[in-house]
Amino acid sequence: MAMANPHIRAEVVEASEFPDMSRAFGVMGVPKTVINDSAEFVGGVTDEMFVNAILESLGKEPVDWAEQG
Amino acid sequence: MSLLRDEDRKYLEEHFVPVLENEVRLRLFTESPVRSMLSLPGQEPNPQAAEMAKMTRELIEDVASLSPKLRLEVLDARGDGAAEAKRLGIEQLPALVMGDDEGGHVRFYGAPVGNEFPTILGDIQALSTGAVQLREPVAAAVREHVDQAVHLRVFVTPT
Repeated sequence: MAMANPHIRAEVVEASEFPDMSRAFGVMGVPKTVINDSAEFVGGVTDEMFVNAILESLGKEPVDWAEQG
Repeated sequence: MSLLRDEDRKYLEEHFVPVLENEVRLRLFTESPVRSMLSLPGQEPNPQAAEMAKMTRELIEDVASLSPKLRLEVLDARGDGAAEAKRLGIEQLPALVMGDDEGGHVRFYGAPVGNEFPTILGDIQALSTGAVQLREPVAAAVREHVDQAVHLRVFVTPT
């Protein structure tokens, strides 16, 4: 994602090495993804769902992937 | 001592190194092992962190030694690299910043070991080839619709 768009900064955090940070973000399971320190989801999702999660966190309309063909 | 076993090195030389195209800058922010053993105001000694920092440094140096296209800079985030770490907003150590972009948009905090090791190799490969690891309709949506800053944090554990 971050390589496709320079607005996006992507960080992978090794949760067990940074327990304080993990606690601060309420990490109970991995992978856990936090978007702009607010929206979040746990587990793997498709790329399409991931993009829509980002758009929704920005207050934008999600993409209707069925229409994208 | 190398952290990469001979067979791992051989595998990477055959399958990772040949696909690299352009130079990739790698910036590893770490701290001196001595410093992480010290009690300093606001900082508890952390021998485990020192061990992780050392292992990460050795592993990344091993990877960088595979190809002249991998340009590694090791910076002491509490010493000569402090200003750059602050500019990039480095929050944890060790931190590996991959790529040459101004904001350091692709990062890994911690030791990239276990199943996280292929993750960083994939990132490095993608940066070197310019091939985004997303299918085109998804990549296009990311390019077109994301017009403001997005900060993704993905918490993982190596297994």
